[in-house]
Amino acid sequence: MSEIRSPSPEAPSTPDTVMHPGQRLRQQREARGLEITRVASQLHLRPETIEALEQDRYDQLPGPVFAIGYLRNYARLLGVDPTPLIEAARAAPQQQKTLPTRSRPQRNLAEATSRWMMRLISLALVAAAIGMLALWWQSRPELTPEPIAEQTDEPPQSAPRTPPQQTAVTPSTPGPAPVTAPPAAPAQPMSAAPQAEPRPTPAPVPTVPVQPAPLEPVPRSTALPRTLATAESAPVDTETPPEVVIESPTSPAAPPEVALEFTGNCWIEVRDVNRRIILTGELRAGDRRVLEGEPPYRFIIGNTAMARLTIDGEPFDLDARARGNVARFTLDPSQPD
Amino acid sequence: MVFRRIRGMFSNDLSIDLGTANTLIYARGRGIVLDEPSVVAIRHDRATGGKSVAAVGEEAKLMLGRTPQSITAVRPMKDGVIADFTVTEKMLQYFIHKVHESRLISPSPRVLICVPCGSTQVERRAIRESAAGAGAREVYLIEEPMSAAIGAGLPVHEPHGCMVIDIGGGTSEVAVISLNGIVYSASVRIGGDTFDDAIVNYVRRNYGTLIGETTAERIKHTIGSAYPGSEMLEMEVKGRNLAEGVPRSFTLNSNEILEALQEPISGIVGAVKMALEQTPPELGADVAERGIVLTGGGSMLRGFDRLIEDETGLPVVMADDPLTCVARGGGKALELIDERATGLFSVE
Repeated sequence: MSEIRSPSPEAPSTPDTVMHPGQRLRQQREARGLEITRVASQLHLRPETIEALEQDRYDQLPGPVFAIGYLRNYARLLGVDPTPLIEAARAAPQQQKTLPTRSRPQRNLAEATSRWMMRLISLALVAAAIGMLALWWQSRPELTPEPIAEQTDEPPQSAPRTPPQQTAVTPSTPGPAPVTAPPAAPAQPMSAAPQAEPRPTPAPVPTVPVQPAPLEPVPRSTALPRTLATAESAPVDTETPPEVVIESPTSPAAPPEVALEFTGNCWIEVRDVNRRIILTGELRAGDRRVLEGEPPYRFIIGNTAMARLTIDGEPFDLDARARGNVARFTLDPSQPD
Repeated sequence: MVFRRIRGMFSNDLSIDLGTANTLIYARGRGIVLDEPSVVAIRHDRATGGKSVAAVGEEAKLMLGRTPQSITAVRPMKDGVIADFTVTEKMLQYFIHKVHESRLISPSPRVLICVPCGSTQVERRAIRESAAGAGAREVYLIEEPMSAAIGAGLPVHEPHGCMVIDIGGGTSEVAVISLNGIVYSASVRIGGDTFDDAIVNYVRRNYGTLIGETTAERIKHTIGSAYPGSEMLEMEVKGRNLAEGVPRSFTLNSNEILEALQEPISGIVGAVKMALEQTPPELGADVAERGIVLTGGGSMLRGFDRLIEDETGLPVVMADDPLTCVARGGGKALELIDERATGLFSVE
């Protein structure tokens, strides 16, 4: 269609001719009576280049930037508006291979999506890592006091458990565990002592019926015959007697009195060596409690600022144990440090 | 370092054309995302003696020459290189953040910056450190003519010589490129700013009137021309008459501006001719065959391509969108970083 129309010089701006910018340029040149060689010399180009331009053979030109530039210069020489010609040249099918920028966005799009996927995945990983860190951090304060408590609890629990079995064979010599057991092996007879001894004293009297009675009647009975209580006497119920082992060094004396006084509302929980709760609840200003039960005690004091702990009247520094306003610690009154 | 890497995942790689007049940023996969004047307005706090950034870019440019005593509007780049290190760093920081506006994480992109080929090692290091200080994770430098040639779409990797002229705000660069490398390059400290100064001087000399840089730039854009054209353009301008001390208005035409620009333009033409002389003959033949490519905002001066064509007798073509060629070329080079570490990037 364009070929039929092309010979007619007066069709300067129909869509068909715009589709073929080279044809339009040739028409304009011929209309002005210019030779290709003259145009070529004016544009400082070779005549072959001008022919290639007129025939829309852009693949014979050095590159898109030059093809567009030559077109613009040629159009300007002929006094034609170069913009529609350049747009037509860009849209021409031959031009596509010389204008790689047209196909580039697709690659960029694929690249961009893969980058976004990478970002999303890495964001998810970072979020997961932060979440796990937060979980660990939250659970940390709960965990930390326990090892401390176990350290103090464990040796007495595990140490006496073995001696009885061994002493059952060799009653008088607590041979294999002398390192941990020196306090432990003689502890069993001794362990009876602190419980047996307080009884005459007035203070701990009420504790005896209240706490150990329902669960642990056996150690009490074994504890009573002080001198008879050899190692074999309590092979089964090892749990209660051994805990008192720590006390043994000071056992001859009465256990120190541990008292809590409050100047304001404070939540508190105290457990004895058997992890039995001996004191719990919210206490108010002016309350005073003397701890009974077997040390060491495990304290959770909710408001250390309002609580005051004394051991035999000596004040105990709660602030040193407090984290924030809450103190979690284990205390053996006979060994305050 | 690790944090920068993580933040880098959320940042776009950027190619920055840190020009004397304008800063353009090309973001990988997004195209040109920023085109603002390289101007920073600084507020001086007299009470504390401290300085703070009042405005950057377009907003700051409007303040040029119109500031009260407490504000100074400055161009931190001069002749294509850093004139004020701290302010440049602030400006880059602002632009990088602006490009990543919607992000929560502060950006730490890989940045490629175009430097004039005539810049010294000290100047290049200043640009590198300024970008690093603005938050860039890695900084690459590329010479402006190379970036301009890539941006214009020249086949730089071919064993054919291409000549590219990049007329920027502060400098003009002429280079012959072949096989991904610069064979010859020259840089003259003449650019768009020099044209503005020439217009200011011409008006003062011939009309006894003082005009500002912004007005001179407007004159250049409206009626500026480098080659005598068929039509004469006119423009009414207002300035302060030096003799009377009162603002007066007068009319300038394009021929006067052509006359005013003769000196800086002949400087550029001289550099081009010198480059042609110095080019090895094989490459010179290639240039003669294909022609010279013009890029940079300064080349948009009316008739500039015809002037070069006339003076050299070689075909001269204007690149598409010459203002953004350097930034776009930097962006394309940035995409090549991962594919193949070519010799495109300059060492310090």
